Formats: sequence, structure tokens, C-alpha cells
Amino acid sequence: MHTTNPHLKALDQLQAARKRYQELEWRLKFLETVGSEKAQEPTEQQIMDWYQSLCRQHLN
Amino acid sequence: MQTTLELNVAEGEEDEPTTPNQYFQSLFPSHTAQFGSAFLQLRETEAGKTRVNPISINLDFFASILSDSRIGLSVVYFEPEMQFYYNSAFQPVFKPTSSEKLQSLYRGLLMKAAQSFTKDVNILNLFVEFRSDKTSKAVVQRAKSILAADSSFFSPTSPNQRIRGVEMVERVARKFVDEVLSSEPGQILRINDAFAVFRQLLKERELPDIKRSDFKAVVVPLIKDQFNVCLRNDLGGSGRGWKGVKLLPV
Repeated sequence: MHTTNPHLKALDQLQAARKRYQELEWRLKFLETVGSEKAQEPTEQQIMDWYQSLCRQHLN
Repeated sequence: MQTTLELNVAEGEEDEPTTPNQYFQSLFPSHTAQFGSAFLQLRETEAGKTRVNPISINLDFFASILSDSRIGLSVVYFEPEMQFYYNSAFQPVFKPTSSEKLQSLYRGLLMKAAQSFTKDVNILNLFVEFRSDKTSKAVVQRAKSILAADSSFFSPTSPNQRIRGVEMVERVARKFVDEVLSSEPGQILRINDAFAVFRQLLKERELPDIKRSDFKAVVVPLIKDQFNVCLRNDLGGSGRGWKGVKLLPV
């Protein structure tokens, strides 16, 4: 269901961004090698920026 | 009982994935467009009930989905070193990974699919046959050609960077010549001084130390290109160097 409320729309987007990031994280866990170097967890804003850039690339 | 073999997703069935082909097509539409459906499926209909059984796997499709631009995950097989590398937006430098790890990712993707279906899909092949070592190895073997990258992929001028690749020395050398040296008439740059600063730059980047001869092989042509001066033997004092080049403070 699509909403016109900008706050709900932003929440929807944030939820979609988190879901997409979780998918990436899930796959990276298969590829990573355990080491001393710990990757820093991205902030919510970074996840949102990343998601929007992916959407721009794929137009969905 | 009526049985049909199918490769494509039947029209009007795209909304809610109820078969393995629909499931993978909804997740990987561009991969499906390029390499075809994930499986050859057998659809059995008896007394109004339908059951779908994936009976053969499309290796090309599964090799291709190991890399997925929809989530910003890039996996390549770097042919010059026969090595897989991966990266993502949150880790912009490519890291090496193994065939075994890619096989685990492939098995994980199939397991996730198998868990998403109800009793209308026969998940035996998804869980057992297609997740076997033999099939997993075949998928990753196929990925070596589908995800192949040539030597230009990590070349010093390419935007793709990887952890501790051999070309890192040349990248640092280019940076060294561009940012640490300048043209200055009357100045003399001794090779010993240049080498000492260059080694410091490598150390700062946690790159392995290099031999003086390797440093010369990389830096001498770059300085010639940048400042149009050659390495000279006639400077007197301690060793060789360049005229008209100055070392800037690092």
C-alpha cells in the first residue's frame, strides 16, 4: 500500500533500506574471514544514503 | 495426473512467488533476464492439486547471483591470480575470498529459498541434491568464467582497489610522485632520500617493504614522465639522484 504522508513514506523507506542492508550483511557473513579487523557498523543515515543510491542505479 | 515441465514463470503468477523459479526471478530479475530461469521445474497436477518439483538446476544463473548489484555486492574472479574477490559499499576495498566460502553462500541462498515454500513445492532437491558438494563446486567453477575480471580490473589506474595487491606499490608510487615531489630548478633529489620517504609511505599504509631495485623500477619512469628528468650519476657526493626535483615535507 502506498502512502502520501511524508513521515510514513520516510519510515517505509527506512524500513526498506534496513531490510536491504540486512540482506547484504547476511551474504557478507558467508564471504568474510574472521580476523582482528572489525568492520564498523554503518549509521542509519549511511544505510539510507546507500539504499537511495542503489535505487537510483536500478530505478526501483 | 497431468505433468508439465516448465522453465519460465507463467503469466499472472509474478506477484507472490509460489514456485522456485518465481522465487528466484523476483529476487534476481536482471540475472534471470540474462541467464534464464533458475530451474527446470516439473509441475504435477492431480485431483485439482498442483505440486512443483525443481528437477534440474541452471548453473549459469546460480553462478551469476553470487554477485548482486541490487544490494551493492560485487564478486569477481580475478583471472591473473585465479582468486575470487568481493566488496560492498561499506567496504570499498576488494577483499579476497575462497571458493569454499562462495559455495557456502550458494548453499545459503538455496536454503533460504527452501524454507520459504509451503507443501506445494517439493523441496527435497533444493535441500539435498542441489546443495550437495558436487553441485556447489560446479556452480563456483562456473562463476570463474561468469564473474571473470582481467588484469585491468585492479590496474593502478582502475577505480577498483583491493587489499594488499601488488599494484598497491605502483599506486603509492604515483601518489608519491604527484604529491610528495615537485619541480624546482637548482634542487637535487637523492635517490636514498626519496627511497626513505617512499618506505615510510608504504609503512603508513601497512604495505610490505620493497627492495631498492624495485623502487627504482617503478619510480624512475614515473619521475621521467612527470618532470622530464632522468636519474643521474654525476651529482657527486653520496649517490645518484635527479636534478630539478624537490622533496616536499610529508
